[in-house]
Amino acid sequence: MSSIQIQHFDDEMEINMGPQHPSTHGVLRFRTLTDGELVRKAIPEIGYLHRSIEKIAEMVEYHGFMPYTDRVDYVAAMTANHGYALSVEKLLSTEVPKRAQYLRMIADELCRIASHLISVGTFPMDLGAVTPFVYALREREKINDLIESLCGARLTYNYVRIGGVSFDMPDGFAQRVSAFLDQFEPLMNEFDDLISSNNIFIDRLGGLCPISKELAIAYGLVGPNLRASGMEWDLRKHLPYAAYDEVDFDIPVGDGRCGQIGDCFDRYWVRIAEIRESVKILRQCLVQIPEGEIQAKVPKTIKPPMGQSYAAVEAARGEMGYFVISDASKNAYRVKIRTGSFSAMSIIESQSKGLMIADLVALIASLDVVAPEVDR
Amino acid sequence: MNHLVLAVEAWMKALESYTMSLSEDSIWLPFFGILNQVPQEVWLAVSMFLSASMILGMIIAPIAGFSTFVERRVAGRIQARIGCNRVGPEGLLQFLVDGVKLMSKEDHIPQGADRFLFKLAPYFLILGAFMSFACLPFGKYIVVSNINVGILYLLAVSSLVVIGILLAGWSSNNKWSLLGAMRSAAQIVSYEVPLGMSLMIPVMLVGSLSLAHLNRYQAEGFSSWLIFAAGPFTFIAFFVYFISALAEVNRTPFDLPEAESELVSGYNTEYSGIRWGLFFVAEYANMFLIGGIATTAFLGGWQKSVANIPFLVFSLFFIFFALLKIVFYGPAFVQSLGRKKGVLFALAHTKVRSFSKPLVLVLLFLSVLSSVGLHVLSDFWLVSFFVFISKSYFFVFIIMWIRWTLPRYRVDQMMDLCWKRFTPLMFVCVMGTALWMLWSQR
Repeated sequence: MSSIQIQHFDDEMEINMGPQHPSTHGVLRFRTLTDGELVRKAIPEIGYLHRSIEKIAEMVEYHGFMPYTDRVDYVAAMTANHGYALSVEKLLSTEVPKRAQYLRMIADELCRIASHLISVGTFPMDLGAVTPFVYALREREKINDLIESLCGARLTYNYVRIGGVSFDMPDGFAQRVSAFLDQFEPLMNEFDDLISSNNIFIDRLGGLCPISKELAIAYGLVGPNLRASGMEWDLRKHLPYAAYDEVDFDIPVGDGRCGQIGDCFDRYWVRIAEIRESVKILRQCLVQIPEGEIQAKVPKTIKPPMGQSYAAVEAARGEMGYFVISDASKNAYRVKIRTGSFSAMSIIESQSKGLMIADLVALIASLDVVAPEVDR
Repeated sequence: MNHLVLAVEAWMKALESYTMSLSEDSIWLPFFGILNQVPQEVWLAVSMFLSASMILGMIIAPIAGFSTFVERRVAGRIQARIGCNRVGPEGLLQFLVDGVKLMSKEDHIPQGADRFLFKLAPYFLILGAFMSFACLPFGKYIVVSNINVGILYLLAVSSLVVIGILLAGWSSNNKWSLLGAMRSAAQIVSYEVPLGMSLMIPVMLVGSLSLAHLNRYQAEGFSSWLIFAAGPFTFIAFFVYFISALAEVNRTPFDLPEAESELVSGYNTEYSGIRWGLFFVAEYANMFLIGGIATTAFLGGWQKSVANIPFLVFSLFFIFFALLKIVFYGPAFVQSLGRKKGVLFALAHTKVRSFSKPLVLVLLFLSVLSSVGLHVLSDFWLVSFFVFISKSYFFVFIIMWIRWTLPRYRVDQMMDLCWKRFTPLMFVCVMGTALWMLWSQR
């Protein structure tokens, strides 16, 4: 494993953090060089969750790859489905029916809320407060119930199809979603009372590890991590896909409310604000969704014309892009997946210098790194 | 001590008369002959040992066990779930089952560990906790050893914990354990300073280190409680004591030594089975001890805490109600307080089933009834025991409530709090109390 040469000093202790460690949320590993409590450097070692998903894409047909995309990011699988579908549709130049686009948006936003709930729930847990996690997961369960009634699965949905979606909304789905949103929004205020305005929480995170806008762009950070650094960039707004140009929402940006712009608290707060924006989008989608088809005409065995395409969606952890090369056969020639967690992982080494061990845990949690996205 | 001497004399007399009544050819005669020659001092030592271990075993073990049950129920309520309710009535016997489970688990000692120190470490913790209980006055007549330097003894003995934790962390041959142990050593040694100074304030006021004297000083009800004795100073000292004590027993927000999200499990990472269980018995015993010392030094100890009827109603309603709430309904009561913003702690509030109104009225009635009853019966030793236990458990509950609500501090922030805030504050308070005493004498 040891391809990286590490210079050793006499007073340095090397601690192995992970792959099984409570705060790494999955199987991440950090070789941590410390001087007592002080971290000199935390070197991420990836590959513990590698499942060769990109290679599998070359072995199965275009439709058959869809279930594997669930596993790219199993915390918010809808967006992973969506990105792949978009990319292949671009190759095929397929027009997706409006209703399917709205259904995809509803599913995406529900998933984004669920994913951000995990993020903001595990964050306090990494700082020692266990209870908010339980509250967040309780709400996530309700979202899982909703998605289960939509597509029959609770974690790996396989809901989006190339050219549409697999099922239409069941009866009463819209009412149940809006009922959920009605009881969910005040709960977010309670969540704020409990943890976002907690003094210890703010003391711990305010001004911790600020990532400047330039640095964030240089490391290729995307999504909430980039927006927390003050960069207003959201694919849903700036390169709209599906029907995001028909709904109205704001892009929350880090403002350094408890320290500096781009610190750990901003990364937390942007996610909290994004949950509220997603609620707004969902309400509009439920009203605007048109009647009609949910699936365009797509052949059973897809053989796209020779060429390549790249399409990206704004996933819960930022831009998730699928680069698909077709050689006009029934399998893709190459599929490359670009995920947010991978670039977030790369910034940890440079940012970890001089942190406390406790802060390193907070930094990892604030970047919302999800292990399957890193390795794929 | 007098009771014991009387009991031993009675025992020796009984032994002598029984030996006299034996017939000449009884085979037991030589045996009883030897027993009769045992001097009184030895009997006294034996009886002290027996009674002390009886009291410790019969009080600490159930207290620690019951506390784990309370902790699980409180945590359950705060986290919008139920908590253990299967074994025994409402899950009360869960801790016995847990104990049996822990004892039947493999006792694993990691490779490269210092086996002797590894085995020794939990006993230091247990020893520290149990020895502290020896001079805690649980109630009228219920104290193992009423020594005249009680507070000093408590501070000294409770420091044994840090040796146990250091040994555990060092001998485990695990870097996470070592980090936890180092944190713990720094933390406990630092917080001894404000803790000791905050306990000095009642000692100054009473003029004695004895816990019995502290108790007697507060015998005249609510108004004589030491927390109100020297204006703002004792009041501040009480809170400083409580927060420092939280750091002493490594509970949230100062649970850095066993921070499970940072150090896996800190100093007890490598422990398993009953050795791990001993760490927990010690932790829960120490939690109760915090409450016990706070009660004795600041809040009237086991004395009937009431001088007049309105306060009688208030205090006992509070204790009784809080206790019931804690055990069976979790912190719903506390959550209702927490709905007001700006309360000191960010409070866990969720939509938990609230009390029905008739039930509240019935409880109110019962608590008034029982408090009047208590007032009448307050000379009965069992009542004083109940008063002490309820007050102490109230603090145990507060500690649990904090644990399931707050995140933890970072090492440097924790040290800041100790050395830059609490220690100077306590210097001011000690000075202030001294001036207050001078002024009030005049």
